[in-house]
Amino acid sequence: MTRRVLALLPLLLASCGGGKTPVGQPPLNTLSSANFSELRERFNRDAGHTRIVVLLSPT
Amino acid sequence: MQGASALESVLKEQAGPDIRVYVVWERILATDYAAPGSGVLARVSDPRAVQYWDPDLLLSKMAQPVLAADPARVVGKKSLVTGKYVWDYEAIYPPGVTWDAAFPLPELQGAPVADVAKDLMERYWNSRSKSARVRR
Repeated sequence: MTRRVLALLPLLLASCGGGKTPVGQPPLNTLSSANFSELRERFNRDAGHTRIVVLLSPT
Repeated sequence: MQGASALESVLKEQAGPDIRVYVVWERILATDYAAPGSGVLARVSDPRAVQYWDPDLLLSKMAQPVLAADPARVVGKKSLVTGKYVWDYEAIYPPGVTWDAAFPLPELQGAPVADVAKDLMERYWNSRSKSARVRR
């Protein structure tokens, strides 16, 4: 039983929505093929500003 | 994780400039099985930032062919762009650049973020002030 729970743990954690973003930021957005355009639209909406894109591992 | 802290330090030094930041956390390492928790997200606390969790590496898959086509433009470790996935990577875009079908080529880019964040920002503002002087 314990082994089965441990085996499923990564799957359970992966389905969690993630943590809370700092004050002043919108909530963490999980990207999928259905909503990926949200990132592109935000980037284009902010076209009047300097923009920084970073790709990082959380661990 | 050091990359996020380096980015945060750079943003603290750039309090005035009009900047927007998109932090995309990727499932890249074997340990990245869960979305980033509050502690990780707090590493970039600047209110100008928007944070995303990209478990399917959608951004990396879209950006990699574009960026890997010209690795000479990458400051630092080029293999973080030319490998299968783009990660621990930073790109800076000036006002006016839009993202159409393909991922847009940045004005400045580099990896890993912890090593290049400060340098990229300095280069960016230097190039902006030079081009402003030329226009005058």
